[in-house]
Amino acid sequence: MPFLIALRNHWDTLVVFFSAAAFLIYALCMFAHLRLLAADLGELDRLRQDGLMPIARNLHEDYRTLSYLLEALAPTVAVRRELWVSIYYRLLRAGQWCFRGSFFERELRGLVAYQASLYRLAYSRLIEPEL
Amino acid sequence: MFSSLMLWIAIAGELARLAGLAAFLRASVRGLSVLAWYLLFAMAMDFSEYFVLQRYGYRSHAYSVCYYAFDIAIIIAGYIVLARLVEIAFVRSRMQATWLRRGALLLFTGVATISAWYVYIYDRLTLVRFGIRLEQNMSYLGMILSLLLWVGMNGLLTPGLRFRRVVLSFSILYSSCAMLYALHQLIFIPHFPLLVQIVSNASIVFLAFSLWTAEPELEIASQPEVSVLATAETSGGAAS
Repeated sequence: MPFLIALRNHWDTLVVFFSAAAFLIYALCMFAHLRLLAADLGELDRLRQDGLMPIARNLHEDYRTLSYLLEALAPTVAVRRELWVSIYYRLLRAGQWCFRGSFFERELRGLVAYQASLYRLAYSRLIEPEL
Repeated sequence: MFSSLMLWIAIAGELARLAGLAAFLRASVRGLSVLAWYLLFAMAMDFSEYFVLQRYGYRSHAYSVCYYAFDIAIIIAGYIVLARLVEIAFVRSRMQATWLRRGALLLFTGVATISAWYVYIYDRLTLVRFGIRLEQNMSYLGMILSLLLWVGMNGLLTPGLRFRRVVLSFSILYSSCAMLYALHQLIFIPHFPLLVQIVSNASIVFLAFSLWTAEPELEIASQPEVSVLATAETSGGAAS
């Protein structure tokens, strides 16, 4: 009941709150999306051709493998692991679970490509430390 | 305790603004000098606020008046930046908007008048109450404007990844502030100015990051020139 009373008395504030929250999440997602625009989508295939990545069944498996590899490699070669990647991945998974559409698939492909480029950097630093 | 916490958060804010200024100077962004002025202005306001906080303390009336007065000034400066971003988006899309400045001025006057009228009708008109109401309304207006700007930029295919990031940073600033103010009206949040300060600092970090990161489009754009030069050199070499 208190919720209903609040809804009746403050419906305009509730509209402001929910629309602002929705736009904040949207803006944060777009920030991540802009970051992924620069990712090289062919990097994953090149890693496979070089024998640095196994063939996976889907993009989620690719993401998990790359995360595992980066977790092992990144601290030793001073490659920064970015927190937003895992948050965005979970958000994309939740989005894929709720809605069907090519947008989430494309974003996931970009995210995996971004992780692949980070792994390439970490690997090249491992074999040539002066890089 | 809150006095010192507020102080540390203010120092973090100053560092974020300094990082933003450094990023601006490093990137040497053309056409966005209004951002540097905005950051400098916000820093000056924060230093004055710090002086008042040190002198009068966190719970004093002088500090609360100063806090809201400076916040109004920063909000107005942010609104000017947003209007300038809209203008730049139009210029980059090769469109003219002669009505823009007049429209922005009218919109601001309208929101300020409505805020003052609302406070006058339902409450006692004081600077603090007017400040809270104006800030809340301007945050929501800023959020709507930045959303329209973002949609317009996508529609008009405005170039520039950095410019898009800057617009998104302002969207994050305004939407998070609007959300906090609405939440504060629904359920009373103790030490609310502290939260607003933290959220503003986080948004300034986003702005600094937007300015700091390189623009990939420039690299892409420079590639054909390099290849043309390389071709000219190789053909010249072959001819000689």
